[in-house]
Amino acid sequence: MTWRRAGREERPVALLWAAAATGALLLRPFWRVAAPFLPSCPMHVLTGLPCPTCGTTRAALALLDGRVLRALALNPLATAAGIALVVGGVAAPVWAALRGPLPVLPRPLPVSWRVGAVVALLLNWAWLVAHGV
Amino acid sequence: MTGQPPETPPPPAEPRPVLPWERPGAPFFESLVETAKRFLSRPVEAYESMPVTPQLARPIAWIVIFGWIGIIASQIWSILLRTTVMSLLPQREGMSGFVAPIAVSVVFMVLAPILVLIGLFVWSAIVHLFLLMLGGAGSGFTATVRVICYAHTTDVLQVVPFCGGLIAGVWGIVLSVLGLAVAHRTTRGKALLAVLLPLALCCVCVVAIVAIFGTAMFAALSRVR
Repeated sequence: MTWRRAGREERPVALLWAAAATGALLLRPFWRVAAPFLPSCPMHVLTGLPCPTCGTTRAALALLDGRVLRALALNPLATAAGIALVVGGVAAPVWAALRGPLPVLPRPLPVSWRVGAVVALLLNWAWLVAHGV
Repeated sequence: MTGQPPETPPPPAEPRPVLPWERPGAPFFESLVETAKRFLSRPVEAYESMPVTPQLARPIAWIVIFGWIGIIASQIWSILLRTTVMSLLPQREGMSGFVAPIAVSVVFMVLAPILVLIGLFVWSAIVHLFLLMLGGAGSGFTATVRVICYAHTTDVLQVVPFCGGLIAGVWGIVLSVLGLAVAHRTTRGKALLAVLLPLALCCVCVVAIVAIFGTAMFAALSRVR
């Protein structure tokens, strides 16, 4: 893996990331009110089995309440993404301003990385099915 | 010494003029309308005119404007037609709460710009991740963000009652695919998968619909210019 220093061109993305993370946190009361009006998962309603993204809303609400373990139990991958959104939103503008090191992703991505991503999705889905989320 | 004259390379193609919306000093409403007309009628040409630069201020302003219009229109129709919608929904657990109270709709309209920004970042990140996995990311993340921003030109169609949201959604997917193919210099097939696979993951039972829809869309996209 090669690395490069963050430049001025990273700042717009860093600011967008920060805005998204800040907005997600500030709208915490709104998510609680709006969540019940989201439609139920058709797959879960019809088959009783969760789809790969079931539990994401509940995990997000648990995460906003600071209940990380509860969120992980509901959907580990969505919780990891939520944590990355918030932590990254705080760190990205600072990192860009300080010109911190950034990884240069190989193109195309190595097969092992792609297989790993698919395996992670499948394992997450298996978790949801096994725990009756 | 005789011989064939050296072949002169063809002159470089004339670069397309930049989108009116991104021209410095362009009048606000004229550039807004002209750019919207281009994306709705000649999307490939419009995306070819889109600069693939790290600057995001203008594209983000674009999606906030059109996203806000779309959310306001959809929520107004939701408020005006909520009784009709409730009577059409199947009376089943999980569906009765689908139509939000008026207060929630009003709050939704007020918070629309923030919701648009959150959705833009999250959706762009997901699409770009899938594009990377498919080997179709020829440009950086800012190119994906720009494409998604301008694909939301179709949100203005939410002013059409009942079917406006569906048309806006489907047409927005089409614009996203065309834009990703242009901006990342990749195939429309990879761009289509990058957009449809995350949607399919949201509900596996939708996979069949997505597969049929994706096949039809791929065939149609091959003919779009």
